[in-house]
Amino acid sequence: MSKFQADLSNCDREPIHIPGSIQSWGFLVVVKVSTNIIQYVSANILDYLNITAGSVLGQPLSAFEAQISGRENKNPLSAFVEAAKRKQEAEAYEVQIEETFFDLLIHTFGQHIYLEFESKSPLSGLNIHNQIGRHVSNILATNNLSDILDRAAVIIKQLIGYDRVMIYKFMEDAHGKVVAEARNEELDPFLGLHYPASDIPAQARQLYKLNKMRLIADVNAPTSSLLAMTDVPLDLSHSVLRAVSPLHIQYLKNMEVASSFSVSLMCKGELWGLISCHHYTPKFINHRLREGARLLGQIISSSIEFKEEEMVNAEQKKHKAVFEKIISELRTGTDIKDAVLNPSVSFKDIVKAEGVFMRYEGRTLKDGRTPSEEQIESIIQWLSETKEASVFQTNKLVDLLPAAKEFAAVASGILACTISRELREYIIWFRPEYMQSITWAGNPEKPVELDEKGEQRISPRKSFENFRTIVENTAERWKAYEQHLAERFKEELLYIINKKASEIRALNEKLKEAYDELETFSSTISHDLKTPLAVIKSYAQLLERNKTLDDQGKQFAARISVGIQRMNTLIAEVLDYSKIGRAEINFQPIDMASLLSTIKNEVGTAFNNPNLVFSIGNTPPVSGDQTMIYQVFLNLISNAVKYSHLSVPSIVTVEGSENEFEVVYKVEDNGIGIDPKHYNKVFELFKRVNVQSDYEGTGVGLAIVKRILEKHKATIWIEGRPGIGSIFWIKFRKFE
Amino acid sequence: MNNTKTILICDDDEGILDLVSIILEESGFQTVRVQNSFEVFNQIAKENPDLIFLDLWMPQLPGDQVLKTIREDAAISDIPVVVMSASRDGAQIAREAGANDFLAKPFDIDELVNKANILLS
Repeated sequence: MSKFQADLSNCDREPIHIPGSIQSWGFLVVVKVSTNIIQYVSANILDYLNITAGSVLGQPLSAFEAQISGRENKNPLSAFVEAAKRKQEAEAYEVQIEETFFDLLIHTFGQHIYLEFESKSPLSGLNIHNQIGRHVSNILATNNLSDILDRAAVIIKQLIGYDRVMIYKFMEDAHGKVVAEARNEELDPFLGLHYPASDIPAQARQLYKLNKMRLIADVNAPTSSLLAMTDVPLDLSHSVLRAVSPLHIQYLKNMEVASSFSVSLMCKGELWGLISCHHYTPKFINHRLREGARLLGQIISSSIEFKEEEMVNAEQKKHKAVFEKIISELRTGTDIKDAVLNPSVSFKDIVKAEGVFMRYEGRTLKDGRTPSEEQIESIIQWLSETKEASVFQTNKLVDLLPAAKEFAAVASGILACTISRELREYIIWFRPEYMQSITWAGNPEKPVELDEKGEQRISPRKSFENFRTIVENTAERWKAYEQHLAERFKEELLYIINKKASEIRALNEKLKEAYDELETFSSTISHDLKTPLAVIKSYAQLLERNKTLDDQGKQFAARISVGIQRMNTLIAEVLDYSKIGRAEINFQPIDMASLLSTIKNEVGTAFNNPNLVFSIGNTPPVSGDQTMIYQVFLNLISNAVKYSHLSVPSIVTVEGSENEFEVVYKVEDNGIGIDPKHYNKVFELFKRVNVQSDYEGTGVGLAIVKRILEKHKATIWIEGRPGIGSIFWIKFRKFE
Repeated sequence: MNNTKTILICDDDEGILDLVSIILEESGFQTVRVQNSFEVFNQIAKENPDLIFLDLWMPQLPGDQVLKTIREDAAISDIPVVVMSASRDGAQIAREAGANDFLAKPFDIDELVNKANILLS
C-alpha cells in the first residue's frame, strides 16, 4: 500500500496514479519491455488461477504462458506482448484458462507491458456494435446540444443498466455542473447541481484525459496489492484495474454509491466533461459494454465539439452584429448618444452584460442593470487611480476593490475601457454575481464518516462549503472576443470623439479668422466712412455760420449735422458689435453699485428729464468684463429712460437679487412698453420695433446687449405689456 | 494774435486738407498742406511750423511713425502735434506716440480751432 496518507488538506497532491494496488475485479501481470520478465503481479492472481504471485514474479513471461496454457487451448501471451510493443492502443483478447474465460487487455506504457485479466460473463456475447449504431443515429437526430446530451444519458443507462447516468460538464473554473441526467424514478434528481472543482481534483482530471474510461466496480470490495521486483512504484495511469483513491472511495460512500463508471468527454483536446454513472449496489461492467460506452463517449464528444463551436459562434455573431450596427451608425456621423443607445440597439449588447455605463465628453449614458451612480463613481475613482491599461476586466471585483461587495449582485464582474483617464471617462460593462443561478450539490446535513482513527474524512458538506467561497461575488468570465470587441468599440468612439474635437477646433479657427476679418473690415470701413463724414460735418457747420446764407439754408445745414451725428453713432455701434464676437471675456467681480450710479449720473445729464424718478435697489456683484457689462446696463437704462420720457413721472428702477447659483437683475420702466410679438425681434441687429415714434436709436444697442450677455453665458428676456412698461430681466450664472 | 503762426497739416485725404486749412486760415493762421507723409519732414524743415495737425492712417508713412520720428529729432522735437483720426483707438496711439492732443474725426469746428489756440498760446 502507498505510504501517502491523504486527507482534505493534501488531496490535491495525492499520487493517485501509483496506488500500489488494484481493484479486485481482475488481476494484473506486468512485464518489462526489454526483458519480458514479470516485474509486478497482483496478489489476487491466487483467487483467479490458484497460483501464488510469488511463484510468478521474476519469471520470464514464457514460463507464465506455459503455466496457463492447456493442451487444448494455447494462450500465446508472448505473441500478444510482442504485438503490444509495436502499438499505442490497448488490445483486447479473449483467453480461456482451464474452464474460465477472461478478457485480456494489453497495453504498453513506459518500460512496461500491462496484462489485465478480467472475468468474462457468459452473457457478454451480444453484438454491442449493432446496438451502438442504432443508438447513435437516435442521439444525433436532434440538433440541440442539450437534447443530444439528454438522449445520450438515457441510452447509456440502457446500455450499462446503472441506476443513474449524469452528464457532467466542467465549467471555466473547473467546477462541474450536471447538464443531463437519466435515473431511476425513485432517485432524487441531480440535474442542474454544481460541484466544486476540488470534488474532481486536477490530477484526477488529468487521468480522465489519459484514460478515458473508469470503472469502480464495488467501492466496498477490498483492493489487491501488487507484488514487485523493485522499489519503484508502478505507474497505473492507463490501467483499467487501477485502485481508487481512498478519498474518492470515501466520497462515493458518502453518496451511498456502490459502483461508479465514467467516460471522459473531450472537446478540442481538453476534458469537457464526464459521463458519470452511479449504481447503488455493486455492478460490474464487462469489457465489451465498456467499449460500447467509450464509443458513445467519442461520438458525443465530437458532437459537443461541433455544437459548442456553433453556439459560441452564434453568441459571438450576435454581439458582433450589435457592434457592427453601432459602428456603422457612428461612422455615418450619427450623434454618439443616438448611435450607441436607441430603441433598436444598445451598446450594452456588444458583450454579454446586464448593464453598461459610459461617460464621454462630460456626458453620461447608462443602460440595463448597473450599480448606483455613487457606486459607479467609486469604481471610476479606483480605476483612474490604479489601472493604466486601456482595457481592464475582472470577474471578481471584490478581490481588488473590497467595497464592491455591496453591489456584487449587479456587478461582480466589470469590463472597463478607458476613454480618458485624466477626465475619468470610461465605458464599463457589468456582469451580475454568478452564484444566483447555482443549486448546491451534496447534502449539507449528511453525517460525516469517520475513519478507523476517528478522523473526519471528506464529505459532501465540506465540498459544499468550499464551493460557496469559490463562487461568491464572482461573475462569469469575460471572453477574449468580448474584450476584443469592447476595445474596438472604445477605439471607434475615441476616433469619432477626436475627429469631432478637431472639427470643432478647425471650425473655431475659421470662426476666429472670420471674426478677425470682420473686425478689420469694420475698423477700415468705419474709418473710411468717418473721414468723408468729417468733411461733410464741418462744411455743414461752416454753412450754418455763413453770414451770406439765409435762415432756411442754415436750417438745412443744421439738419445735415443731425444726420451726420446719427450716422457717426451708428458707425461706432456697428464697430462695437463686430468686436464682441472675438473678445475673450476676462471674468472679474464687478462692483455694480458704483457701475450703476455712474450710469445714473450720465443718463441723468444726457436726457435731462425733470420728471425722471430713477431708483437703484440691491446691487449684488456680477462676474464679467467691466466695460461690456457697463455697456449692457448703459444701453438698457438709456432705453428705459428714453422710452418712458413721456410718462409723468417717468419711473426707472434697477434692482438685483441673488441665490446660490445665479444673480438676476431687472431694469424696469413705465414707458410705452413692447408688443409681446416683438420680444425676440428687439434683440436682432437693425430691428427697431418702435419706429413710428420719435425715439432715437440705431437698432444696434439691444443686439450688442444680447451678444455681450451671450458671451457672459447670461440670458436676457422681456416682461411687460405695451402701454404699461417693460421689464428687462438679466440672469447671470455664478461660476466657481 | 500778432505774429502769424504757421500750422502744418498732414493728411492723405484731400477733403480733410482743404477743410482744415480753410477753417484754420479763417481763424487767422497760415497753413501748409502735406498730402504725402514722406514729404512731411522736408516741409517741416522748410516751413518751420509752430503746430502740426497729423492724420494717423496714411498709405505712405503712418502718422504715429511720423510723430515718433519728430520726437526723436532734437531740432524739431518740441513742435506741438495734434493727431487727428477717425479710428477708434486713435487717441491711445496718439498718446503713446507723443502727441500733445488728439482730435477725433468727425470733429466740431470750434474744437479744432480751440486746440490750435491752446497749443499756440
